[in-house]
Amino acid sequence: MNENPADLAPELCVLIAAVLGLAGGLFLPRRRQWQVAVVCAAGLVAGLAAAGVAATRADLMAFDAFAVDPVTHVTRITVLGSTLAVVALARGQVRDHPRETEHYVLILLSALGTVVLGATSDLLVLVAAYLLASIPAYALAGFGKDAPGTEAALKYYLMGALLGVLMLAGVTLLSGIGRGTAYPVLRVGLADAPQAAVAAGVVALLAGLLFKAGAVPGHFWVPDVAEGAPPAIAAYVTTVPKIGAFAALYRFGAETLPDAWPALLAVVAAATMTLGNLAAFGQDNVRRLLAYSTVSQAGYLLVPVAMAGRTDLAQPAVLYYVAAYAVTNLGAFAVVVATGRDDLAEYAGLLRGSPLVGLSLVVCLLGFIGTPPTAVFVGKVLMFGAALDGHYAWLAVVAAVNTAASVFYYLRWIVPLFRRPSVPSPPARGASAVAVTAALCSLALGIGSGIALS
Amino acid sequence: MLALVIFLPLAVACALPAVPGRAVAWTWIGAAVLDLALVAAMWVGHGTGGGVSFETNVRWIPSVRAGYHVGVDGLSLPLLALTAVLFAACAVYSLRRTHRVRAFAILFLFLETVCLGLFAALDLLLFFVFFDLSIVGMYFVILLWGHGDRSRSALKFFLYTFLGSLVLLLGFIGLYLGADPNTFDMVELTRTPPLHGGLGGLTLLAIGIGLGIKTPVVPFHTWLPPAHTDAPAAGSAILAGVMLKMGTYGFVRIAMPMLPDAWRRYALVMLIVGLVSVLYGALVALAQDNVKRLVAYTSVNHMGYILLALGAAGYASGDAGARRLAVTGAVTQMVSHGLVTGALFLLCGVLDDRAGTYDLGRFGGIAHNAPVLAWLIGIAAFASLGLPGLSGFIAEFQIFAGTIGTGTAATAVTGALAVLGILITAALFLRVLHRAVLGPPGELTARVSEVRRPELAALVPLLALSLLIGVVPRVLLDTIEPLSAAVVALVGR
Amino acid sequence: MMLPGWPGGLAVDGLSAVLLATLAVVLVAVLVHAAGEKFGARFYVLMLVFAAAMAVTVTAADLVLLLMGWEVMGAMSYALIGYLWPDAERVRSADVAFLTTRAADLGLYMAAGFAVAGAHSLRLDDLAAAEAPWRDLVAAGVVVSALGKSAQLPFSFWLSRAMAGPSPVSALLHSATMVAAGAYLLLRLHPLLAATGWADTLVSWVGALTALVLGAVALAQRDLKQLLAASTCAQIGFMVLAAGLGSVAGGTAHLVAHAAVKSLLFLCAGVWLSVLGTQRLGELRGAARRHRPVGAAFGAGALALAGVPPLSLWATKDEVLADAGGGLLAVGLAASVLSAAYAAKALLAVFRPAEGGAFRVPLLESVPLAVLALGAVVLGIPALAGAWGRVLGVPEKSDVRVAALSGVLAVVTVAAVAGVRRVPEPAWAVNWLWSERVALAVAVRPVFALARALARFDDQVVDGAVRGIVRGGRWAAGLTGRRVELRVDGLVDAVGRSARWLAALARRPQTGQVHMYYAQAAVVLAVLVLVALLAG
Repeated sequence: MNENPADLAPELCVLIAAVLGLAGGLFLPRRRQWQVAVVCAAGLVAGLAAAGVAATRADLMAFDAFAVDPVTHVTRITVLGSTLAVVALARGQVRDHPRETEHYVLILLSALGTVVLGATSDLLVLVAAYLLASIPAYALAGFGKDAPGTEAALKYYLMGALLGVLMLAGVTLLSGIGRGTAYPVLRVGLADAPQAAVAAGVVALLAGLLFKAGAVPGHFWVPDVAEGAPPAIAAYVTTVPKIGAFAALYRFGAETLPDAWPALLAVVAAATMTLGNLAAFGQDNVRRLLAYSTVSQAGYLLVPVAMAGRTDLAQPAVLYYVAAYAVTNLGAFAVVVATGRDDLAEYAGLLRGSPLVGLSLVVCLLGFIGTPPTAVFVGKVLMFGAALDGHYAWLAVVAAVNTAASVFYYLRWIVPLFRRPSVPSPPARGASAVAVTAALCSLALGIGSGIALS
Repeated sequence: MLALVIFLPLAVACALPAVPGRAVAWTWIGAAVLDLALVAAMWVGHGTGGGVSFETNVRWIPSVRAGYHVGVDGLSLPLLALTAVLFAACAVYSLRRTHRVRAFAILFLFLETVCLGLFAALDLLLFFVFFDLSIVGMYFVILLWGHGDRSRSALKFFLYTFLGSLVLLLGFIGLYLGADPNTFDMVELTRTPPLHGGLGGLTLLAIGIGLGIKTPVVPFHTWLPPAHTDAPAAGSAILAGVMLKMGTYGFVRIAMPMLPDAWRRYALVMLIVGLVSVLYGALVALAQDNVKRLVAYTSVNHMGYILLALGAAGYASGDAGARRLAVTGAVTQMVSHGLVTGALFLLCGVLDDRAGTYDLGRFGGIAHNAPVLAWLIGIAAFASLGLPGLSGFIAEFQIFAGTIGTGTAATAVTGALAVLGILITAALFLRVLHRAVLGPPGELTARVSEVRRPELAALVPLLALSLLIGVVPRVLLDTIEPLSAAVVALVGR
Repeated sequence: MMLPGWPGGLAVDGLSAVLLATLAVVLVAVLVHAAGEKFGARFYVLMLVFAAAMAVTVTAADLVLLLMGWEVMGAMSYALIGYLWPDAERVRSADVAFLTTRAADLGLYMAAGFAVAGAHSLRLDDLAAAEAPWRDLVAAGVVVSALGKSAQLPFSFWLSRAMAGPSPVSALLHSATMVAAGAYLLLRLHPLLAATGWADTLVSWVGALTALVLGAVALAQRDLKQLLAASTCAQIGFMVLAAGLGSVAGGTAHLVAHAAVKSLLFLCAGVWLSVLGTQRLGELRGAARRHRPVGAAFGAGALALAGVPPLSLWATKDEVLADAGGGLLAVGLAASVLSAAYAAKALLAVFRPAEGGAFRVPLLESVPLAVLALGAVVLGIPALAGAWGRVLGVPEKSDVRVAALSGVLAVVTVAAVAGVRRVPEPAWAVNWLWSERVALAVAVRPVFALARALARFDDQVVDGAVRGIVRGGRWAAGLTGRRVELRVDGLVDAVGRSARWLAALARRPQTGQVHMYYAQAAVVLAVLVLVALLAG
């Protein structure tokens, strides 16, 4: 058994940064708590570097439960990179806040849980990671202590509690009938277990993971949190936990291969993308709009997850799409943070007022649609390919129709940008930089997808 | 060389924000004309032989075997030249534009790169990238510089054609998955066509719908009239002149050589869809009072001829010479329609510029104040109705002779019925001339002043080229001929 | 060679040479005459292109070039008929002329396709050798086209409309171009017609009947140009008859002689129209007497048209009828009686004595009249001498009995008309058989009605379906928005933003919202279990 802690170097970097930050924050005056942000960012950068180095090495399994393979590499890099961006976004929002330190530390801990969620191949670790990823996020959602924030936090928590309990039940059931908790064991154990029990167990397990992924039926919290929580946190909870959740879903599907998996996930995917799209149509609040857009994007992401193990395209599709999604979503939220405007109409004239931020938003929104040469385009191509190769042509058609329909509400946001300028208010500098970086990353990932994929 | 041709406009577009305000229009024209010269040089370099020249193949996404693979042959060269000519004409035409010139020029240069790239692409994914970007670019052209109910028309255009592009993408992925080894490379897919049997039919259905929406064929054409009506003149000229060709080009470049089996099996469907588009488009155009809508519907009619000819080319039992004639005619029609309809839309733009309306009934006798404009409208109208001596005739004659000459009952009957299209087109253009150009003066005639110099400089080359092709068709046909022989052989496999 | 791989081009043989020469002479005559009137550059450009198109038509060796010349000629006739474009009615006449001839031209487009299918060639020489069903189709297409261009039945009405153009245009259009092209094509493709076994008979009968019926129409006209127009149809009918009979020499001879006669007559009519301002026969009374040279020229032309020996059309018509037998001969003779009658009617109208002073005609206008009049008189001689057959390289035949009979008939008829002074003018003939009205009712109006109906269909059904889908999507979205989405803001307002937030927190689960979420999640999960069971 491999128990080399060095294999978990990225996670350890993050953990150390969180602990150092917490400890340091206790002794720092309020005005100098920005140093904690630096420590956390340094930890994340170190983690990214370690993850990058690890990605060049051979696959291995650490502590019997922690797979270090391409899925993990992508999860690590995407989560840590996204978290870095969120820290940068949050910096402007919680500057000189009495609990600034806690804010960063909670983000880091949640990110750590997310990485583990995506990397583990054992049900028990999965549950632990779920809790680690969720609990700091509940607190973060209510961080603003204002009414919408608390309500959002409460809903987030209540949904998470219910579905988490169900997930625990599912884990119990599956480990019982599968005679183990490690995925390789389950694969053998579930093959000859009673159908009904497997089905109930898998669905219960899915409940928790779909909650993290923001997919049907665990999507109810997404719009409320996106609207109620502070914008930086909204960006965080609609981006980072999803990365881990999709990695975990894909890993479970690919490594245990339950019979009903593709059909089950295909139904969930179709329902999620359709529901997210339809609900997004009438939104006038950009954060709610983005929230529903993330729900529909989760639907597309579930397509290759459903095809796990059925086609070689599934894995690159999930990984590429998830990274592309993270970049694009962060870019869009960064613009919201930068401008501080929540209403669609308030975006009138943005392109005149601050062309770079406006263009970044256009790139990100067109990216969501899947316009080449952005990153999501390549992700969508792979996603469609996976669906067709897995003989789920109907799912591909549903996804295509949904994609076309989604044009409608993304354009609703783009069109006002070109109008005459309303009141000019200069966007926040840090967030703008994040937005521009994200847009450039999206284009780079699209054009340079060959390098990224190989 | 080819990369320079494709990306020169984009490079200029990127540099344009730094150009001082008054030089923007001239920089744009300079770039467009230079690009045209480069395309012409490339044509000379390629000559009239078969095969692909100026080929570049760079790995792009190796894991799905998609690459930046571009090259030119007898099919792409005429269309590249058409693209360069039309964009140059639009640049000249827009010389006097004052509203957001810089952004307009940037967008058009971007669109030029996109269109050139599409016609040079030899990789399905690359083709799709350009295909999709053209939709985005044109959306903004309509949205920002259009008139009337522009945001609605632009949205309809985007939604409809984007849905079409996604269906097309599904078809491309079908081809990719069907190939062994999986690849998006057009050359390889053409060499060993994948997918036989039912899957081939489904893939052709997806590709056919995707390209059919773009072309457009009946019944997927209803995005076209509003988009044209509300687009600015230069936008309409590009939309009709270049972007509609993307659909028909795709049929010749992708659907026929890569799915020969399915194409032969469903050739009758293509024939009938083509025939219906021809007659339906012409008849609906006949009933229009808005001249821009009218021209838009004639596009449906003209594109129908192309599909008809390509359908006939799928009858492997037919005379090979005739099928070659049909394919050559189809490609000629793409060029001809681009030139002529581009000119017609620019002329509509002149009317709108002067009188602010496209309503036929409010004009009349404009030949009195604007004789040159009247001549230009007359020549363009006769070119569009297929008068010999102009390019439309060469294209349509070959299409009819080739389609009927294929010699099966189905092609002979559909071809003979399609000939009726040119009579209806003649009727509708005479109606336009009768109501707007000739006869006693109408309500708005006084406002229609003579064409200005930039407009003339944009329009004359288009019509002159149409005349050149009409009188000396060999300059074009000799380049296309080897290609059509190859396509007919590929479909016959 | 216009199209790569499809041999063809321009070539001159006997028939083409004769037609080219005729074209050149008539064109020069007409243009010199027109120089006397003040026409702009547009007129000469159009006239020259018109003539050039005819030249291409008669020298084309393949269907592509033939059709090119053929259609350009049609378009130029449109532009020339509508030369005075501010007058909406003239433009309408131009529309009618172009659309009618183009409708017939479709036959030639189809024939080209059938030729490719049946003969694998577009050369005119190869058409007769096409395979069986295709050969008949080619012939049918060619015949329809030629009849349309030559204004034979049932297409004759467009020629009546063509009178809206200036007189020099009519002079050219009715003699050596346009209408002659149809007759030329049938003469040229006689081997094809003969090979089918039915087309030649059909063509003969159509020609003969046109000569007869349009002769009656001509006789009934009260307008000089309309009379001449109908007589053109009738005379071309003789050429078509000749083509059907295989009398290439006779048909050509008739074509050439008729070109001289008809251009002459139209130019004379033009002179009177410009001087006297009318072309109505009643008002032209005595016109010929007021300017003797023009009157004499018109007289020579009219007598030739009447077929009075020894003038040109008498000799050439005889050559055509020499090949006819039985019914065709009878119809042909009847038609020549009618031609004598309408020519006499015109002649008498303009020569009838009346007051009014002499008028002057510029020299430039009158010289061509003299040349053409000479032609009208003497062009019968080559026919009598058998020269056409030698030029064209075809057998030539004449029949003295038929010639004598038709000569006598012509003289008698002219005398009779002079004696009677009043000819029957039935309404159907005055109105050209109402054929334009029939064409309007049968073809044009239904097509426009169909077009309007389709435009409505396009808007309401085809586009309506698209709009319906979009509406459906929006409706579904609205539904989703109402049912699934429970807004936060309203509640928040209700609850308040004070320090009571803990109490509010406790209350909130009782508002039903989170219950709703729970309930929905539970239902969905239950459904998923079902899906898993069914799929697993």
